[in-house]
Amino acid sequence: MKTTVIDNLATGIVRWRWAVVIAFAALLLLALTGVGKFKIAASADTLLVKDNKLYIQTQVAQQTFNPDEFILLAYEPREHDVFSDQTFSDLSHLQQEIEQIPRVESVTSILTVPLIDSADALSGQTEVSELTWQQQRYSAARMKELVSGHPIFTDLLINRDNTATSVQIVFKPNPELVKIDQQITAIQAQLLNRELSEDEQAQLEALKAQAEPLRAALTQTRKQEINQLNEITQSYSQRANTYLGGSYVVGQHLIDIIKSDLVIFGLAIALVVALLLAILFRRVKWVVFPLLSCGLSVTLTIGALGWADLRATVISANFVALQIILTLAVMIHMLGSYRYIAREHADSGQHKRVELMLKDKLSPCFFASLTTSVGFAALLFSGLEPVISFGLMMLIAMVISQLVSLILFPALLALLPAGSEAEDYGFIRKLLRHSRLLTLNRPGLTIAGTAVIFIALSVGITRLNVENSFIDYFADDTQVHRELAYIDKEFGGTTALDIILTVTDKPDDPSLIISADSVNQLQLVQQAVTAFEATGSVTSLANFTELATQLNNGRPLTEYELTSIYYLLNEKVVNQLVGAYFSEQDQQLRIAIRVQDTTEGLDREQFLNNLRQDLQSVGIAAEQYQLTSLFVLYQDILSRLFDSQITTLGLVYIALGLVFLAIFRSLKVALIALLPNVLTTLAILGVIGWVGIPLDIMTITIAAIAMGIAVDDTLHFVHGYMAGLKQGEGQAEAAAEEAFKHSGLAILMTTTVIAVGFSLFGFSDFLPSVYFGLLTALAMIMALVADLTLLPALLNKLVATQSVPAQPQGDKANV
Amino acid sequence: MYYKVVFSAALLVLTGCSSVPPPAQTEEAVAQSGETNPSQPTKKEQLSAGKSVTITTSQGEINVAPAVVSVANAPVDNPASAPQYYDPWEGFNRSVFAFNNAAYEYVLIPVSDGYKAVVPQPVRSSVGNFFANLREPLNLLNNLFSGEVSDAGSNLGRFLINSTVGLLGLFDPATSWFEIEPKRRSIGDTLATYGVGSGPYLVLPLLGQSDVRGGFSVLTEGFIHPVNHVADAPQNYQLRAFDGVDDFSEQSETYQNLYKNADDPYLYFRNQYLQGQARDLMYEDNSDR
Repeated sequence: MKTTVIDNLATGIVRWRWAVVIAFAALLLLALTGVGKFKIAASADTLLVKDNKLYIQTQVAQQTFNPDEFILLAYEPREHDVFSDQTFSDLSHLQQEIEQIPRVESVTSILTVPLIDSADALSGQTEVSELTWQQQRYSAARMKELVSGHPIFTDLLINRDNTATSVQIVFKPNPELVKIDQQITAIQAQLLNRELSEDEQAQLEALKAQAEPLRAALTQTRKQEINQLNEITQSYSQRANTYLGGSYVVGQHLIDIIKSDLVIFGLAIALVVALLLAILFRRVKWVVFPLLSCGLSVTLTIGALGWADLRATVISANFVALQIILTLAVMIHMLGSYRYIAREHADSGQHKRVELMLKDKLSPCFFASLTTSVGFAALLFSGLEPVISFGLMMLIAMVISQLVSLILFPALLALLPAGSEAEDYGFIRKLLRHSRLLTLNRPGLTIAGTAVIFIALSVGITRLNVENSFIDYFADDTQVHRELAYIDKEFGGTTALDIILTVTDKPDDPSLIISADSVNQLQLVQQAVTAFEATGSVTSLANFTELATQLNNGRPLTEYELTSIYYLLNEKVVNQLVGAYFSEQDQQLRIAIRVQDTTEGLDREQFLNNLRQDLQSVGIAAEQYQLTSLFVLYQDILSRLFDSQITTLGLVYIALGLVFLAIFRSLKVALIALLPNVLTTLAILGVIGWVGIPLDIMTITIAAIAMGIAVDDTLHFVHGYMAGLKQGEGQAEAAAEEAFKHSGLAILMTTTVIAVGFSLFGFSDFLPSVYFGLLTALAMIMALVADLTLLPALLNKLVATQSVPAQPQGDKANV
Repeated sequence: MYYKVVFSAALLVLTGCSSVPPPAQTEEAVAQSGETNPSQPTKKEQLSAGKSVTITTSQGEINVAPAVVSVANAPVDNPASAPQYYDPWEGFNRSVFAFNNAAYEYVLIPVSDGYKAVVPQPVRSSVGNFFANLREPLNLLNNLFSGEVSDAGSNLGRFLINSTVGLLGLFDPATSWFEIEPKRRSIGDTLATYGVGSGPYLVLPLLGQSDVRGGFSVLTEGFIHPVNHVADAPQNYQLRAFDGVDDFSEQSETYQNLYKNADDPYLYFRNQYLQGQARDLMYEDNSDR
C-alpha cells in the first residue's frame, strides 16, 4: 500500500515535472511579494517573555517613575585633565552638536547640572538651576571640587577615578507611542489579578498593531542617531577617546550584528557548501541545482515569514543558514542514491533514474524531515516566547524545504540529460569499510567504547550553569565590546535592575512628604545594595539626602527640612533630582541599579538570592518590595532554562521514539535508533558544561536542533540496514554492507557539509552565533560517530541475529 | 508691647533653664516611652534618632549613617517612639504666630515684594552684604568670648577688607578674592557654648521662631548692634527695619510656599525649627567627641 503511494508519487513527479516547476515559479512570485514585509526585530526586548507578572510589573513601574530613555557618551581625555578648560570646551561643543539631533530632548553633562555647594542653596533662597558651569563658568579647580565624588553624579557623569566624564543624552519619547503603551500596560495590568476578557484581548491586539509601525520607525531612528553620534565624536578623536553605551545601544548593536551575520554567513555558507559539493561530486550540475534549490527554499521561507509577520530575533536570525543546511542534507541523500543508481544502471534514461531514486529515498527523506520537524516542534513547548517563535519559524522552513527538496528538486533533475558520475574517493570508502568491519567483528567492544566516551562527556552536564551577559555576546576584540565594557566598568554598569519599595511608615505629621523612618529604611536598602561588587550605579532618594548631608557639614537633614526642600525647589529641579525615584502619589520609592555585566565571576542567580535575603535582613518584608526591570526579566528566563531544556528534550525523545516506532514497527529497533541520538544530545550538553559555556537563551536551542538534524542520519542508516536485512535474510553482514554502502556515504557527506558550514559561524563577532555554530558542528560529528559505530554495532548484536531465530549464534547472543 | 513681655519672660526663664531641663519634659518622655516601648527599636528607627547602625548582609558588615533624622527637643528614652516636642507656651506662641502671619501677609510681604520689584538682585545682595559687614564686630566679640580665636581673626580680616576694598561692605571681596569664609556668631551661640540651654520654644513677634535663649540674644543684640554706633535714633531703627525687610525679602517666598503646603503651619514651622535645633545640638556633640 505504502509502496504504491510512493511509486505513484515518484512517477507523478517525473511525469508532471513541468507543472511542478511552473507551480513553484508561481509560488516564488507570491513569496517575493512577501519578502519586503519580512522584518528583523532584534532588540534586546524581543528576548523577553511578555505575558508574565514580572514583565507587567516592570511596565507599571516604568510608568510610575517614567525614567528617561538615554544614551551615555563617555569622554576620556588622552593628554589633558578631565577637569580642564579643554574638556569643558569640548563638552560644550559636543553638546551643541548633539542638540541638533531632532529627537534629543536634553544633553546632561557636568556643565549643565546644578552643582550645589552649600545647604543654603536648598532653602529656596538661591535659584538652584542657575548653579551650573554654563551660568557660573567655574574654574577647572572649582569644578573638580564640586563634581569629584558627587553623591549623585559619580558613576553617571564622572567616573570614580576622575579620568573620564560622560554626557547623558536624553531622548524625547514619541507621545503617541507613550499613549499606546500606557493603554497596553493598563490592560495588561489586569493580568496580575485575572484573565483578560475577549474584548480586552482584541483591544490589546489592536493596540499592539498600532504601536508596531511606530516602534519600527523608532528603531530606525535610533540607528541613525547612533551613527550621527559616532560622526560627531569623530572630530574629537584626536584629543579624547569616546565610548557609546547604555542598554539600548546594546540592543542596536545586536540588530546590526544580526543583520550582517544573516547576510555574511548565509552567503559564506552557501559558498563553502558549493565548494564542498564541487569537491565531493565533481560535477557542475551537482553544485548548481542543490544551491538553486536552497536559494529557492530560503526565498520562499522569507516570503512566507513576511506574510505571516513572524520576525527574526536574536535567536532565530540563524534560520537562513540552518535552512540551507537542512535542505541540502535531504538533497545529498537523494543525490547519493541517484549516483548509486546511475552507476548500477549506467544505460538507464534520466527519467528512470529519477524514478528509482525517488522510490528509494522518498520515504526515508520524508521521515527524516519529519523527525527534524519534531525536533523543532519540541521548541514550541519550551515555554519561552522567543524560543517558541524560533521553533515556529523553523517548522515553516522545514515544510518548505521538504516541498522543494522532495518535489521540485527531482522534477528539476528529470529535466536534465543523463550523465556519467564521478567515482567516490577511495579513502572515504576505506574509512566506511573499517567502521563496518569493526562493528561486525567487535560489536560489544564498540558499544562499550562509544558508551564510555559519550558518558564521560555527558558528566559535564552537572557543570552546566546559566548566565546571561549582554556584553559578552560580543567578541572581546570588537570595538562594540570595548565601548560597552568601558561604559560598564567606568560609568556604573549596563543592565537595569530596579527595586520598588512601598512606603509603609506614615509620617506623624500629614504635612510631611515622607517620614524619616521611610527614608532611613531606603538608606539601609541602598547601603546593602551598594555593598555588592556587581552593582555599579545605585541611585535613589538616598543619594540626594547624602548630598544634602554633605552640604550641611555632615549633618543629615531633618524630615521637615527634606519636605521643605521638596516644596521649595522648583519643579524642574525636583524632577531632575528625585522625580524618577519617589512617587508621592503611589507612595513608592525606587532604587535604580545598573548591574555591571563585566564583573568577574558574577553568579547572577546567587546575586539575586543574596539581594533578596539582604532586603529581608534590613527589615523589608517580601510584600513590601518588587524587583523589576531587564535584569530580573532575563534572570527569570534563565531560571526557567533548565526546566525548559528538560521538557524540550524529553518531548523530543518521546516524539522521535514514536516516529521511529511508526516507521520501523518494532519497539526494539526504535529504541536502538533513539539511543545514539540521546547520547549525542547529552554529550553536547556535557561539552557545554565541560567547556564552561554558560547556558543562555541562545545556547539552549542547540541540543534540540542538534538532535533534529542528527536524527536524519540515524533514520537513513537504519532504513538502509533494515532494507539490507530483508534482502540478506537477517544476515548482519549483508545488512551492514547495504547500510554502509547505501547510506553511509551520504551520511558522511551530509555531516561534512553541515559541520563545515556551521563551523563558519566561528568567525562571527557575535559569541552566541560562534557557540551555536561550533557546537552544532560538533554535535553533527558526534552523531556521525555514534551512527557509524554504536548504531551498527547495536543493530548487529541485537537486531540482525534475532530476526533469524534459526541461527544458533543468534540464540547465544540473545541470552 | 510684645517686646516687654518677651524680654521679661526671657530673663525669667533664662536663669531657670540654663542647665536643668524643666521637670515636665522628663515626665512626659517617660510616660511616652512606657507606652510605646514594648520592643527594641528597629534599625531604621535608630537611624531616625540620629544613631549610626551596623547591618550584616551577605557582603559582610556595613556601617550605615542616618540619611534623615527625626529628633526634637524633649529627650525620649526609646528611639522607636516619635520625637517629642517641648512647647509649654504653645497657646502664647500660636497667637504670636497668627499675629506674625497677618503682619507678613498684609505688611511685610507686600513691602518686600515691592522692594524686590524696585531693587534689582545685585543691589539687594549688596544691601545684604552691607548689613552683614556691619555685624562683623559683633561676630568678632562673640567669637572671642566663645574662645574661637581664629574665627574672630576671620571676622576682623573680613571687616577690614570688606569695609575698604569692598566699598563700605557693599561687596564681599573677602570671600571671593581672599577666600575668608564668613563666621557668624550670635550672643545666643556664645551663651550655648557656656552651657546655657535653649529654653522653651518661643515665637518672637515679627522676627519669628526662636527659643528663650535666641529671644534674649536678639534683644541684647538690638541694644549693642554696631548699627547703633553708625547712626542715631530714629535712623538706626529705620536702618534695622530696612535690614529686616532685606532679610525677609530673601525668605518671603520660602515662608509663603511652606505656609501654603502645611496642614497646620504652626506645627510645621515649630517642628522644623525644633528638629533642626535638636539635630544641630546632637551633631555638635558628636563632632566635639
